[in-house]
Amino acid sequence: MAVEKQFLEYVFFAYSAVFILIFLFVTNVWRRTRDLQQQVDAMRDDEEPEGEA
Amino acid sequence: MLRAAVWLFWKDLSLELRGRELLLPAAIFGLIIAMLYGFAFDGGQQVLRPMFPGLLWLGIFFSSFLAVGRAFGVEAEAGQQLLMAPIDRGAIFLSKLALNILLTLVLTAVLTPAFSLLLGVALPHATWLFLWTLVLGVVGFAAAGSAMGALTVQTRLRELLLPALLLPFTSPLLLGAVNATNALYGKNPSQLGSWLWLMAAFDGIFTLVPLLLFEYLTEV
Amino acid sequence: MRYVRWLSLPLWVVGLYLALIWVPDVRALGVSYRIFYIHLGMAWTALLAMTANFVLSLLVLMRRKGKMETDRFAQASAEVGILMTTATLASGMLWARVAWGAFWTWDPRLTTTAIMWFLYIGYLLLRQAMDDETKRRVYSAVYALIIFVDVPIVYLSVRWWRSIHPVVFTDTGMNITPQMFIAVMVFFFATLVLALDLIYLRAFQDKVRQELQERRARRLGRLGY
Repeated sequence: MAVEKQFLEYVFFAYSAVFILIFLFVTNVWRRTRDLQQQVDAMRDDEEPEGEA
Repeated sequence: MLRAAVWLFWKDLSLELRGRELLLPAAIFGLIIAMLYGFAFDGGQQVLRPMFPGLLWLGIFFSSFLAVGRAFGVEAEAGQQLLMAPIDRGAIFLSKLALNILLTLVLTAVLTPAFSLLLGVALPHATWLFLWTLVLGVVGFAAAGSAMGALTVQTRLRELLLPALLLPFTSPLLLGAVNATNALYGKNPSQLGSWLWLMAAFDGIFTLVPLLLFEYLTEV
Repeated sequence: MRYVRWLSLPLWVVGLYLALIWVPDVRALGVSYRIFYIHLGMAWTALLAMTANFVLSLLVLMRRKGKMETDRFAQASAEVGILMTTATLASGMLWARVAWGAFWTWDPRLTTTAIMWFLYIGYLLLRQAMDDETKRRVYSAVYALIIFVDVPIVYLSVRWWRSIHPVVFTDTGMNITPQMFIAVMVFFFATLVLALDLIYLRAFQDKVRQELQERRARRLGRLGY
């Protein structure tokens, strides 16, 4: 039983490691994309009045 | 293309013969490595004998790496005039490849006996097969080094990037060279043939593939 | 693409259930073999991503149109491939610790994966170190083609090398039951859909970045620089 527990811990760690990696990647890309999009939107707001003038 | 390559090769060679900018520092570096191995692994002991092929090839690769890395570095520092000139990239690659092969062969010719002397391990008896092993290993490294050198020549931090690209790339060659040398020392001698074939295949493939692909580099 | 994204989540949930609960224990392998499901799915997807990178790099060089878009996807697939390879290595090392007693063995597949990891990290480093976009595109595509050719050679050499040295373990001929097969396939598709989504997301991000850059340049132009 003790061995089984140890094995379960390894399984748990392996799955969590994968999830953490994917989570970090996704949040990183997500945040950066949002950041960039906001910058683009900000520039668009700046440009529109100028464009009409 | 071939004429341009030969011409470029002579240009580099005469530069090198006049200044000895590449060969001398690389050779000295190789000798220093041999000495440091001696310190680190207690040279002259029998213990060193089974490790000798690995130590020799790492020494050859590291010091060749210096020479190979410099071959394109010269162009980068000369303001990349050659790279802007209307010359086929294939020709540039061929000329650098020829130069690198020549330089690394000379380096190996100096370092191999030096390693043998300093570490107190006799070279294998099968001289011709050993020479073949050396040539195949060195040519492959020069080919891979020329390809990676050409690809990194226009980058920032070129000197830092090149080892990160080149050394993992040549790992099958290192395996082939070390194991072929091991076979010459009598460890699994039946494997010698397949290791030599592996190295020959590496040499052939990575001379041809860059040659075919480098025409695309001319377009940009 | 937007709808495919939501397919990934249920697949993952089902996959987790199948792999961790539904599939019965295999006595000979112990509980730790359940790592196998996520491990294999990741490994296959990683290989597919690298292959996608190869094909896209080929297209970058051969095709005249749509180079920018293709290049974006090539980079994204390399990044996702590295992510999946890292996950494969991480889960594989934990499994190896239990099954073989060491985190790292110089098993051919393991060693090849590690070298492949370094080669593709090099791809990203090369891209990062080049400023000119056109040059970066072509140079990194050429590099991608060359290293893709190198991977099978690495595998071959490592396998020969290992066949000489004492073998640390032998491949346990794992008999795959239908149940195990289903769990593996569900996990594989879950990972594959996730990878596609991530590639798409990453390429989209790069597109936004480029748009921002162009807008900045245009604005500077208007201001008279």
